[in-house]
Amino acid sequence: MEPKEWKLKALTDIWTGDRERKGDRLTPTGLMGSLRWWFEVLVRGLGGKACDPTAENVRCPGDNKKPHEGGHHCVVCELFGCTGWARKFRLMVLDDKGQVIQNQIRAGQTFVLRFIPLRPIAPEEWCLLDATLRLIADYGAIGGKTVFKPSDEPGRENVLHHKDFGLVTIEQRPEGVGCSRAIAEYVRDARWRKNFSDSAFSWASLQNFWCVKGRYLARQDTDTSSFNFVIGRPEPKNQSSQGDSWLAGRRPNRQLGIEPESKKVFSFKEPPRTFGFVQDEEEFSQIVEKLRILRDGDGNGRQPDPAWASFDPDREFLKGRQIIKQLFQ
Amino acid sequence: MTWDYFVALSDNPGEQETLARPEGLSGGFVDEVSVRFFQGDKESARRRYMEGANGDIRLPEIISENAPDFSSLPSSTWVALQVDFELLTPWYSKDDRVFHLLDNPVCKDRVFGVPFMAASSWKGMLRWAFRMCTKKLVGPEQETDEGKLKQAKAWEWHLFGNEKGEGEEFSRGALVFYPTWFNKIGFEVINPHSRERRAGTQPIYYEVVPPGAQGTLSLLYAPWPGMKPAVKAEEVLPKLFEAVEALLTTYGISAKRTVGWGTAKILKWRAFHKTEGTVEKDNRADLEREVQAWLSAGGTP
Repeated sequence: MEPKEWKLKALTDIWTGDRERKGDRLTPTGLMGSLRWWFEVLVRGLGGKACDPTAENVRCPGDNKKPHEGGHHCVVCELFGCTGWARKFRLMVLDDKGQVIQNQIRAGQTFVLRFIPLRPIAPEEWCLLDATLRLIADYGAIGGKTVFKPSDEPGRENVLHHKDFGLVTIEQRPEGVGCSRAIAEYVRDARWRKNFSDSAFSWASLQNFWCVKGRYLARQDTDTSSFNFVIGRPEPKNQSSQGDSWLAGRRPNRQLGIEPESKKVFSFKEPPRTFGFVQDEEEFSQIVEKLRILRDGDGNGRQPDPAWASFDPDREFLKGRQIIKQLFQ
Repeated sequence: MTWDYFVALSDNPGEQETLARPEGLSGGFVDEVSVRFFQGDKESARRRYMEGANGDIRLPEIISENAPDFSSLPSSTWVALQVDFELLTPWYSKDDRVFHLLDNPVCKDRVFGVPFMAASSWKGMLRWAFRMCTKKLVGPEQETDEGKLKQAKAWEWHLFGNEKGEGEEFSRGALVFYPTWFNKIGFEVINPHSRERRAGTQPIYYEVVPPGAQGTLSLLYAPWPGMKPAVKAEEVLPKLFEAVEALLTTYGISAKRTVGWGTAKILKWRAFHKTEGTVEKDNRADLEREVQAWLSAGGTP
C-alpha cells in the first residue's frame, strides 16, 4: 500500500500557531487537528457517531473492550487513533519538490499532504479522507484563525485580525479513492462505538452546515457590520462584548466560569466564501432570511450590502445534505 | 570531597539554581522549579523552566570523548555505519523522570541532562522499519509467500535477534546500537479543541529537540563465527541501509511521528572496515556500492 498524496494550493496563508502563538512555522499537529475535526463533521453528517477526544466519558476507547472488539472506538478513531489504538497513517507536509515544509504555508504556495499507511487502511477510509479534503477545499477552511472576519472599513482591510486564513484548493488527488454508495452504511456499522452522548457537540455535523460561495460578510463602517448582523451582535463598534450566544461565540470569563466558545459563522473575503453551522432545521431559514436582508435592506434604514447584491438563496445557499450529495455523487 | 552528584546538590542548595545547562537539567534546577510548580506557582515555574532549558546545549566532554570509534575494527567481517542527520521536524521521546513540571519532558540522560535517543529506541524503531521495508513483515501490505517470509525472518533475526517468546532459544543479533545525543532543546504546544465549544481546552506542552538539531546514528554490524541464522552480509546489509533511510526520512524516529515529528534529512553516510578503511558518501546508493565491493572481496562471516 503506497502513500497517497493530495496536492493542494493555498489560496490564503494557512495558520498553525506555535507555543509563542506565532504562525511563522508550519505546525503539522495543527493541520492534523483540523483534518480530524472536518472528518468528524463528515461522519456525523453521514449519520455516524464521532467522539469528542477532549471530553471525559466521551472520548474513545469505550470501557472494558479490547482494541479489535466491536465498540472499542468510533469510526473516526479507527483511522485517527485513540488510546490503545494507533493512528493508521503518518502525515507529511511537503512542498512541490518533495521537501518537508518547515515554514508557514503562504498564499499561492503548492503543498502536498502525504499519507503514509502504517497499517491496512480500508477503501472506505481513503474515501472519507478524500471527501474530507474536498469538503475543506470546496466549502470549508483548514488550520487556525479561520474565525477572523474580514473588513471593508477603509484603512482596516489589512489588519491581522481581518486577514483570511485557511482556504485551499485541490490540484491533484490520488488514484483509487473513489467512494461507493455504501459509505453511509460503513460509518453506521455496528462495530463502531456509539454508547456515548454527543448532544453537546452534535451541531458539528454536515447535516447542520451551510455554505455560500463567492460572497463574504464584513464590517462596512463604524456603525454597520453585515457579519455582526448575521450572528446577532450589535453592529456599531465598541459594543462587541454584547450579544454573546451560541452562534456569535462567547468570550471567556474565568471569574464567572465562562469558557471561550467559537462563533459558528465563518467568512473570507479573498477569495469570498461564507459558511457556518446551525442547531436545527429552523435556523437555516433564519440565516437565509438575514442574508436576504443583506441583499435587499430591511426598509428600516438598513441598506443593502453590495457584496450580497443579486444573491439567489435557492441557488447559492447550500445546505449540508446537498453538499453530501455533491461529495459522493 | 563529595563524589555523589545528588548528595553534592543536596549539600549545596544554592547551586541548584545556578547550575549551567546541561548539568542543571539533570537534577537541581528541574527539582527546584518542579517543586515550585507543584506548590502552585505554575505559570512562573513553567516560564522559568522553559527560559532555562530552551536553546543550545554544550555536550559534556565525556560524551564527546566516548563517541564510538570505528577506525580500528578487530574483524574484517565487521562493518560499522554512521549516518549524520539533521532534524526537519521536532523529535520527542518521553523522559522517564517521574517528578517534572511538564507533562511531557523530552528524554534526557539521567546524569548529564542531555537529550538523547537511547540505543534501545534505535533498535526498536529500526527493527520495525526493517520489517516494513523487507518483505513487509508488518504494515499495510503483508507478505503471504511462505518462502519470502521465512527469508525475511531469517534476515531480521540475524540482525536484531529474536524477540521474547520468538523461537526456542533467545539469541542476540549481529547489530550493536549506540545512543544519539542532541544539542538543542525547544518546546512545542498542542492545543486540543473541545468539540462542544470549538475552542482550545488546555494547551499541552512538549519539550522536544527542535528542527535543525543534528545527530548521528551509529551502528556496528558484528556477526560472530558460526552465527545462526547464517545469512549473507551482502544480502542483508543493503536491506538494513534501506531501512535506515526509510526510518529517518519517511517514517520518522520520534514518538508522535504520525503527525510528522521526527523526520530527518540525511547529511552523510559513513562506513568503516578493518582492512578497507573508511568511506564517506552523500547518498545510500554510493555507500552500498562501496560496501558491496568490500564484502565481495572476502569480508563475509
